[in-house]
Amino acid sequence: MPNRSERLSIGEMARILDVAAEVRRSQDLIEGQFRREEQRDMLRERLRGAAGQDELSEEQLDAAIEWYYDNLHRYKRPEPSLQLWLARLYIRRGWLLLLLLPLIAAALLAWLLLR
Amino acid sequence: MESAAVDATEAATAAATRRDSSEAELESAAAELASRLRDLAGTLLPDLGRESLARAVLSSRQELTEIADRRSRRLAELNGRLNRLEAELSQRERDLSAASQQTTASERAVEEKTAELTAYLEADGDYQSMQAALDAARSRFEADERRLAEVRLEAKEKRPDFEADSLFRYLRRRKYGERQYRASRLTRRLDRWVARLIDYPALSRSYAFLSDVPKQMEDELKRRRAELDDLVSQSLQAIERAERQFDIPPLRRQADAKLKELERTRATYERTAETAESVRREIDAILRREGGFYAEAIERYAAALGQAGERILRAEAKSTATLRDDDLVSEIGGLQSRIDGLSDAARSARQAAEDARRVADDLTHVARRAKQSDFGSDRARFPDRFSLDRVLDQLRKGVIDRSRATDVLKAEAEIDPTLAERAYHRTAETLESPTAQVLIGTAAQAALPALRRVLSERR
Repeated sequence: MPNRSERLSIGEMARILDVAAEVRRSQDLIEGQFRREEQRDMLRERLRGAAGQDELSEEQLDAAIEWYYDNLHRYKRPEPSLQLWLARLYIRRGWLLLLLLPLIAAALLAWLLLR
Repeated sequence: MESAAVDATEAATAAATRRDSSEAELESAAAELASRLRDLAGTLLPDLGRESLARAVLSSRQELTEIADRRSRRLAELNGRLNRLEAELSQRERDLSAASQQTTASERAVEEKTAELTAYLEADGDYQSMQAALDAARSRFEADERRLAEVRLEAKEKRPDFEADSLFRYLRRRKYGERQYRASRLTRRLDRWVARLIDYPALSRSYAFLSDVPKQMEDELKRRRAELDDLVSQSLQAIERAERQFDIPPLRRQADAKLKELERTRATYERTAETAESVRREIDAILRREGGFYAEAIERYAAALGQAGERILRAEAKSTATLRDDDLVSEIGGLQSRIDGLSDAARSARQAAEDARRVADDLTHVARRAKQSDFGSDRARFPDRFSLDRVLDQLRKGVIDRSRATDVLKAEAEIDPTLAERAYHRTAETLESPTAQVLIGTAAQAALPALRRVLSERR
């Protein structure tokens, strides 16, 4: 009698592997969050290595790491521009349509009457 | 008459006030006399000893001797009880000392065994490595708790900026980039344009991190808590096993039992000591004239001295060396004379108040009756020979009572009739006159045939 793993299709196997990879990734993420101090140390070593000839003091390294973590996952507001203004109009298209519809209808009626 | 009643009422009130004041003065003098008699009794009877009792006034000697006997019996009883309690207390002290020694020995045995156990565990490599692992897990868990608090704080601080942006909210509401995202081709193109504009994929990842990671960390921390509890439990089990190996639990139970026994013995000792102390206090009170026996004897003796004549009191006072009792006897004599005088005055005041009250009641009654009978109005007339003052004077002196006075007034008074009464009398007089009688008879004779005719027509 064949066991269950032999009866799985390739698609099912792929999905299981996907889920397992997602779970593992999530566990790594959580573990990484709990080991923030170790991450800091690693980051400090890499920064020191990347600095090369430029001597960086411990305070400067700490300040750089602090800045990095402070800006990580922080919302970055886009610069104001015409595109951004148009995008905001676009996402309010429903309301704009509701406002413009009576005006268009009135204009059409006026045109028909004055023609 | 009404003014006479009001004056009599005021006089009765004044007489009652005088009576109250007189009685209060008498009571005050009586209280002072009782106090002086007690002072004299205390001076003449300094204690309940045989010599003092022998000097006491003969009439009270029997009573005082009875009190002294009762006091002696009570003292003997209390002394016997105190002796028994002191013997019991000595025994309790010995019990307490023995229990204390046994408890100390038991505790020392436990301490010795515990020291041996500690040395054994310190030498045990397995236990030490388990303990080191436990310590490391505990400190790691504490660090993890601190880190979770930091992540929660970070998420609470950073998330509102994402939620405040309308473009981010729009794409998130439409589930852009997720499987559930549905849109027309044009909308897809425009949404993609918006997403590129704000770098939505990176923002979405950050937002998901801030939303999900704290919860996932909480779950992980619960799992680690369970692991830590498991390690603690294993460590405790290892310690318990080692304690059993060294026979510590029975020794500890024995030490606990000894400690409880010591506490019980101490409680019993304290109760006995308290009872002995209360008995000692009672004996001291009796011996220091504070007990009830001496107070009772003084009360009785003071009563007997009060009944004895002044001559006997002077003789008693002279028989002692002190002058204090002579002064007291003089004061008592003065007070008794004063009380005699006050008693007569109080008796007279009481009689006067009663008389004044009776006169006031009688006058008020007669005045009320006179008013009801209209004797005070303009229609009332009395003959010239009648004197109201004489009637009231007789009533005041008690020569006549209130009903007699009322009858005299009724008999002498003449009341003019009112207009209605006069009209009524006139009508009655007119109908009863002979002329009116003839006219009424004639009218009846004339009306009778007409009445008969009417009745026959109806039939």
